[in-house]
Amino acid sequence: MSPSNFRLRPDAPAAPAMGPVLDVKDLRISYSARTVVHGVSFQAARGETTAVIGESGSGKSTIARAIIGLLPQGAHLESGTITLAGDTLTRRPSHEFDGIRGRRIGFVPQDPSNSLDPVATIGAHVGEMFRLHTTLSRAETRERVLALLDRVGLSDPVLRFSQYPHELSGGMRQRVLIAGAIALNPDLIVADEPTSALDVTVQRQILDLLDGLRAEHGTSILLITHDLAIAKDRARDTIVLRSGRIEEQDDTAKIFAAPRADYTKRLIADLPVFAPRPPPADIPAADAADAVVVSNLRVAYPTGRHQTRLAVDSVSFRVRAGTTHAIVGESGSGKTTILRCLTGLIMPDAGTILIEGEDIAHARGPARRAMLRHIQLVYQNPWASLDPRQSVRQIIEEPLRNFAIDSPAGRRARVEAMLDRVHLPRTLLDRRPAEMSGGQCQRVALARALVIEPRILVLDEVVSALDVTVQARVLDLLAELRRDLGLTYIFVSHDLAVVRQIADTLSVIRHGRQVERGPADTLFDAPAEPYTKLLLAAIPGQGNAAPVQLQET
Amino acid sequence: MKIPPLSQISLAASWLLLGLLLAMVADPALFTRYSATAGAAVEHLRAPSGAHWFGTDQLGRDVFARIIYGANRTLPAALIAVATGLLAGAGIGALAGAAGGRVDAVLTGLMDVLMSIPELLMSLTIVILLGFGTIHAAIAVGIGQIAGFARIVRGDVTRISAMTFVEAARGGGATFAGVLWRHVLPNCMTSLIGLSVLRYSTAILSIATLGFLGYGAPPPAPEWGLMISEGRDYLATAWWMTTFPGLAVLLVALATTRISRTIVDPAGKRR
Amino acid sequence: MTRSAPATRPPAAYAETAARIAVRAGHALLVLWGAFTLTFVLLQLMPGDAVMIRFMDPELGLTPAQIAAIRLSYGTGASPFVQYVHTLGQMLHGNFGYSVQLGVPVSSLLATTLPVTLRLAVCGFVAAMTWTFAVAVAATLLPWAWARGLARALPGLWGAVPLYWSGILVIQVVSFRLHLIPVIGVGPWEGMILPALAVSLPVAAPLAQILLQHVDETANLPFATVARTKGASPASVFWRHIIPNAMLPFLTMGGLVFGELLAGAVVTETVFGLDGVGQLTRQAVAGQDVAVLQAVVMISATSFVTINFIIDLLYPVLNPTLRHRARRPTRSRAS
Repeated sequence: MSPSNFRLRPDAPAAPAMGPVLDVKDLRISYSARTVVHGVSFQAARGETTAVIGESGSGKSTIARAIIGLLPQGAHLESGTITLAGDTLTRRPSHEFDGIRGRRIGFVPQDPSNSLDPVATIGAHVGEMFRLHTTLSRAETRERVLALLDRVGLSDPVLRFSQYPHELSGGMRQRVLIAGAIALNPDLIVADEPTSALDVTVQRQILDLLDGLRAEHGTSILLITHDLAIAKDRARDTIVLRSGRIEEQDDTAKIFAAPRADYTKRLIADLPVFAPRPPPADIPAADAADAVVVSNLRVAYPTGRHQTRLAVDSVSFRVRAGTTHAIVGESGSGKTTILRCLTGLIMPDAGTILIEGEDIAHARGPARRAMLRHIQLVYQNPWASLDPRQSVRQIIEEPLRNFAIDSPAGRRARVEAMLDRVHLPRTLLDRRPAEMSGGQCQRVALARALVIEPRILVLDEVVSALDVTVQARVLDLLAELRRDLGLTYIFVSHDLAVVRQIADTLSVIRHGRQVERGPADTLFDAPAEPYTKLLLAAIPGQGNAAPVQLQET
Repeated sequence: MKIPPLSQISLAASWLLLGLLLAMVADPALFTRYSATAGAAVEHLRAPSGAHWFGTDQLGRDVFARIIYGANRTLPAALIAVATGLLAGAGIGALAGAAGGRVDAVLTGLMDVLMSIPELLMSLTIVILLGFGTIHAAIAVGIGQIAGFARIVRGDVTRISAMTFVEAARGGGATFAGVLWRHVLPNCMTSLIGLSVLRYSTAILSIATLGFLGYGAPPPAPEWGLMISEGRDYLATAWWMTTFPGLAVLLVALATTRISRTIVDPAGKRR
Repeated sequence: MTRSAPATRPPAAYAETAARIAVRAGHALLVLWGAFTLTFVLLQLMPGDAVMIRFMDPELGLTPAQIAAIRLSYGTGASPFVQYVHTLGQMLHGNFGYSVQLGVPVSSLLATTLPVTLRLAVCGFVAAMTWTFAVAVAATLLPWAWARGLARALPGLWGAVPLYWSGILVIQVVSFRLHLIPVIGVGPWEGMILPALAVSLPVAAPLAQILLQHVDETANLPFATVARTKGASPASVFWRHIIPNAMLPFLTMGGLVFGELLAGAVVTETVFGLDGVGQLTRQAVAGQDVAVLQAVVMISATSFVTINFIIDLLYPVLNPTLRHRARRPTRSRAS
């Protein structure tokens, strides 16, 4: 059976050709006393992609949940109507809505890893749509499901049909979820951050797939995202949300060409992909000493008896003092393993790591401790890396106490000076992590790392968990600290747009192997390796949404 | 919902009951003018009345007075039980979780062995070893609780030790002991306190069970479990002899369970 | 299109499974040995002439001269290690020694009492499972919030009810006041109704709480929401997605509490006057009959270990993420 002549819903009634597919009017949603969506109205055009963009807390996911009629517990629809192709959805009894969800609105969730029932097969997942909404026989359902799996670009549908979610990669799982969403050819697909948990190359393929389905079947897509760059590439219309209110809505092209709202202007300015690369701030002389030299690093993990998997294989790079070296790779590339070696958390199986000329592997006892003091690690998740029971003061002071630096009064002064350094008000000293924002927590984590005056900072995806405006401020802070304190950075990231902002040199890692390394300018302007080119092309927001070819993921 | 939710009412009632019980333990005579052990034979098996709120037993003793003096016996005993289980169990669990490796393997094996013997049978084994009596029963119940404490504490210590902020603290130069003391144990505390209060309620139930089976204090003593056991012979004629001591055990167990839930989950939200 | 042949598992996968079973079985035996050693140390090393207790039994028909000979062969205070090895060897042959109190082999006592207790345990387990699922269904699917709340509060209430007290209450109400089911003089299964009811409630309480907790956790996972977005009703999501997932941790808990059922028999049999292992245990403790108690502990530990071994083996059957390791994607998301 060839997928092209397979009609997704042969009995589909002719949809009314006029009017928007989705019409949201004066939507107001609250959690107990707190209103999170303040009278939002917008429309989604038939057969087009409409993007709803906003940072965390903007209410975009709540709106998505309201459209599919599954508001989270405690949320209450105060007022407003939602109309889908002429039919009012709001205030429908639950059992009636069950017939609409899936059949007329498809939903693609954010995190494919948890969105498939781990004890049900892929066939059961997609087949559930037919079981719930049609009277097709088992065999017919199977035929349909296999065709759908083929349509969303999964190789070997027959094998996939009987597999379980854990046997598939993240991108494949997202394809399965999309197959479910389009199974009954719905009027509208609501895609809530469909790619934010995926690698950049996979993200691109998934967005291409959604685009292709829209073009082929005329399905309308409501794309909920935090990523303006994705909206720019993929949506005809864009709605900018902030704190439950619409700041701006218009043609995407118009918004990006001439944003009217100040908030939109700032969002666009803060987006790394659009920002010009800052001029290299007085780069140290070429003869500056090497802060870190890694040669032929190799780390293997045992995967069973007598079996190992190489997590990192012959990776080498050198970082001159006062510069930033970025390690770029997708998930599973081994970049985290490299930095765990650098900070002495795991021992490499082969290769050497020289920190300021000294071999980290040979240091023992106090010498090792003194050495590791000068290389500090900052983590991706700002909340997880801070002890929830400690106050900001205790958190920043602890390393000083560990190394018995200064008197209690002196330590107090150092903590306060450090807080100034990372631009946090002293009123935060007695706060606990749960009472602060992600950006504030990440600044506290930076302060803790810097308080014992290290010379090298290892930054593990430090801005990935932050909103774009917060991300821009933290990147500014990092640049300022490097300049003022003469720090050396090793910056691990999957986000090339961010890396471009900060790196002097970089290594591209894939499957534990170093694909390419060199000065950042060279790699960005004239990449030599196909994989580097692919990574660069996959950065969203560059306006070239032509499909890229890559193996199925 | 304008009236305070049921959960708030039940919590307030639980604290009130616990306060009353503490006062009973401190000075039982404050609550009743009757003796717990001496009764008037002529007034035996009287139904609940103004004079005897909970009636009298077969020897004419006031059931209400016996329950109050029984609190004086059971509640401290349950404390001994939980302390025994907590100290031994948390010690084993924390050591296993923190040390890891071979120590963990051996201690986990020990926990598996302890888990394979039901709590009550473990307690009975200890009772044979130590002999009867309230304190012995309490220690026996405590030893029965060791496995449960150890398992939970080991899980918590292992889980928290693997958290990023612990690794971050190590990176900041903290020693193994420093990390354990300043980060791992404080973060285990909430669940450990909650668990202890919860185990306090099961300890009361278990001690009363041993009393009921006749392994607690010998007969004249006013012990809740023993009172129920004695009342069994008068089921058809004197329902109050079994009903009220049973209610006492039930209410205390309910109240402590309710309070433990608040400690573990202060906001009252379900995980 | 042909039906896909299930991917044949490579021989290595069978070897892996066999190795896993062997490891688990070894662990189970180790735990049993540990339980024996622990109870032996606690019980049989008590002050007192263990050899005398064991061999002065009239059932053996030994003359005082023979006993003296045995004592000589063991030494009056035979070394604890010799006693330990002897007892362990005997137990492996199904010989649990002699009851001091009743003067009969423990194994013959068990032969008469064990069927009663097993009947009680099985009935109690079935009843407990029934309550547990009834509560989970009621607390999740009832259309009224107050009723769901009530169902949710029930297990906490049961858990606090003393077993012996509820048993007595049941007898009082059902038999004395309503004259529904007589307590004595009924058939072996009818007589189990009330005891099973009494023994099941305290067991069902933690089970229901665990199941509810996992049902709540699973219901909050994205895939439960995704199933709703497909148009599945809450009931359909509950039965098809939540229960199969919540069953996994619940099973483990079920294995842990089965032992408590046997322990609960001690109290229940006392209250209802059943001649089972529980009653035997109570008498053994009262009479310091250590051989009987150790036998009971070992039976209980063996059933506990066996059930958990079976559950361990069942786990990969119920949880596909533990199967087909060979077919995992090479590109894992964890780095």
